Amino acid sequence: MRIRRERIAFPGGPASVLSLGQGGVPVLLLHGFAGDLLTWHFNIATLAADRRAVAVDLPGHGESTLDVGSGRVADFAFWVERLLDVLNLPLVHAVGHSMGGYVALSLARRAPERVASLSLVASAGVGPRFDADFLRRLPALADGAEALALASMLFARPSPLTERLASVMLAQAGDPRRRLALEAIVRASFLNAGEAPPVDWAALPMPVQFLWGRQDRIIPVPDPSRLPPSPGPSSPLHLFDNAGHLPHSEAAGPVTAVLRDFLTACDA
Amino acid sequence: MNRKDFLLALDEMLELSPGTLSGSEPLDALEGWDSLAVISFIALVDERLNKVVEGEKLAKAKTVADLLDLAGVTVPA
Repeated sequence: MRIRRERIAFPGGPASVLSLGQGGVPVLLLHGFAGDLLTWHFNIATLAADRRAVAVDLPGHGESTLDVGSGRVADFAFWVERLLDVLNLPLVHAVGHSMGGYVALSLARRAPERVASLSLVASAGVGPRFDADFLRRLPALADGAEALALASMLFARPSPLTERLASVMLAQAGDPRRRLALEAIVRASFLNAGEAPPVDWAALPMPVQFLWGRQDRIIPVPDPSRLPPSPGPSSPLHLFDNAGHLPHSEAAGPVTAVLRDFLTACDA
Repeated sequence: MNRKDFLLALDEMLELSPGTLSGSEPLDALEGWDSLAVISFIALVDERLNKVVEGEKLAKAKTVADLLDLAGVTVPA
């Protein structure tokens, strides 16, 4: 399987993209705040067995532009839509984690004809009040101890990934330009966000599914009242044991299997 | 695919000279073992062995031999 990582020239600065696989309705993978496209490293190759899989660094993240514009996460959906044009992807299955879930949801609202299905993983914008203090501290980590403490909050149990994640987070905080970009997002999108208004799920024509770690301490499992009125085959909520805010890492096997099955079902 | 062939495939994946890896190497001592290599490894096992590697198990792998176990490659060279 050919793995292609490229930085695409783009208005406002480059867009960093990782592509694997080919054919089918492609799956678009959008990472969370202060993450990058490699957050999907346990999932993307398996998803790409059935179709093209494209993971993107959102503005302010990874190797994409540090120009975050207004800093409003909803505006990233416009950026993603233009990127889909450049990549010649008229229709995708959108999968978003946390902040990336909010971007995927915004994309589905503004361009429903381009989203075959929506998979929201521990997603922002669905309802529960998230841990804004955690997000505020993330770009401005003081030292390794704070990085380790915050990274630990992402997992349900001690994880071999915690230390590596903490060092990546600390390196990010040490880059002044990146720190400014992330802080602009926090100010514009998170600090006064409160509880998200209810989503009008009925206005979304595509199938939607929700995936959550039962022990998510950053964005807790949403109350069923915040989800589509009749969760069922077309809008299921999948809960994963022993998983926190990164179920696609901590429960990578089951999460990838659920994504793969849903995408295949939604291809039809 | 036997153990020897799989080790050669890992050599190639990590841009090492053929025959470099024997199985005992710690992963954190391999310069090329990073997130992209993880993606390549999962793709390699899927393509060559038609087997899905679960990431949460891969996260716990410490040596090349652990990768062989995950891939189900147990036939001695």
